[in-house]
Amino acid sequence: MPRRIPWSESDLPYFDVDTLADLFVQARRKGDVQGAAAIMRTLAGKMFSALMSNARNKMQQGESDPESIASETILRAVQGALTSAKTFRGTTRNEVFAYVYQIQRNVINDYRDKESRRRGIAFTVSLDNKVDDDGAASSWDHPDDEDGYIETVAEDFIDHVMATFNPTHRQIIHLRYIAGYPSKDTARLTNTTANNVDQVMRRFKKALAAAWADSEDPGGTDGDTGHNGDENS
Amino acid sequence: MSNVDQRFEQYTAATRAGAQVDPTSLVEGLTQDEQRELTLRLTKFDNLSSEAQSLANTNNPILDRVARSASGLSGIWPALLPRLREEASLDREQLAQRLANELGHPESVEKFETYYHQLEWGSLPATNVDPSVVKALADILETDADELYESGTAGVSDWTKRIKRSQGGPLPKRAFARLVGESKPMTVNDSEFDPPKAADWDDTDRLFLGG
Repeated sequence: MPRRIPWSESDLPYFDVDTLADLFVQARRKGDVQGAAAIMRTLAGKMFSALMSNARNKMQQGESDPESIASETILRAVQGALTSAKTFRGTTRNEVFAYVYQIQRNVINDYRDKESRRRGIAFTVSLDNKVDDDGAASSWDHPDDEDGYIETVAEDFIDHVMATFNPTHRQIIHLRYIAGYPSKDTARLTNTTANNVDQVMRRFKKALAAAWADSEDPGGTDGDTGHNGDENS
Repeated sequence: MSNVDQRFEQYTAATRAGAQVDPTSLVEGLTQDEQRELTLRLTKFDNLSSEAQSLANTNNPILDRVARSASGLSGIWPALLPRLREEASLDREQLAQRLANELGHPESVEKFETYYHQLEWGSLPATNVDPSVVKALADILETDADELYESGTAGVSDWTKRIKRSQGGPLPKRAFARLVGESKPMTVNDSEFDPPKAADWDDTDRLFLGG
């Protein structure tokens, strides 16, 4: 018997996109109209700013409006999410986010085609592909721009350490360490146990402490945090 | 649970509940390392919290339309149709007028407007809309008819079944009316929408309700 997840609408904006995607699929499976709408509104809001910023990085001066590109991407992504709900089985996050970056690349290409037809010129800037080897979309909180990613890392110590963990553990860290939900609620939201949440947190704190020590004494340690980001719990 | 965890949870729970907490009072009695960790977490949480507040408060028509798409019965039409209509520089009345003319029912323009409004609102199953309506809409909005149909029907049958199953009965007449952030920037009063029974349908009703 699946446990009910104790979230309210006011909690939604505090969740990370992976958790929101999971909740959206759950709401649709249950036929929860109100829940699905509230979740999608929040999820789209979180995706919107990331997509806008990604579009700004990808577009050249004078090209189409990033806001239009972000809106179009969200529309196509929502349509994909609605369709994939038909065949949804088991782990769903990537189905909700499936190829969102790829969708955005397609959207940008479509806009460029239209622009070039309109202006009679061709744009030559290529778009890199961030789809993983297994065909699933990259985890949403990985920026699609390496330079931007490095800047983010430099700016945010916690993000830097979080990035060394796998997506499921990052979801746990976000809810427990950053959003401040108790272990029990975090466990329910991520479909795991409170013990596992605590275990991930211990490893995260250890990695954080090691990274701190490194940053204070760059030549004095070997940089080994003792953490293996691929480790499964 | 560590001192830092405890104080951090206290702070986040209070903030989410709308209370004001002075963060400086939280670091008292902590070691230097604990203070640094707590400060870092509080900063990170405050950023998240301001993002959350702005998401919750913003009355963003795009997000509202996306929400209706996720819960309605006409795929992404609630988000797509208004955008295409705006690109074509048409208001609902003008679009309904053209649609009624295209389909040979200029006398039923008010009815067309009411039905079109429901399509934008996500309350009419797109699967029941006659293909001739979709084709005429596509022509008016200068888009591909097949793509438009697909965008209105994606996942809709499955969603409809789930809603029926979860509620143990027929679809609620206006499930969408309970949606959050419903600001209703609409020209038609939604509460007046009450589709006739099948026995009373005329040609226009059939175009939207029984295609």
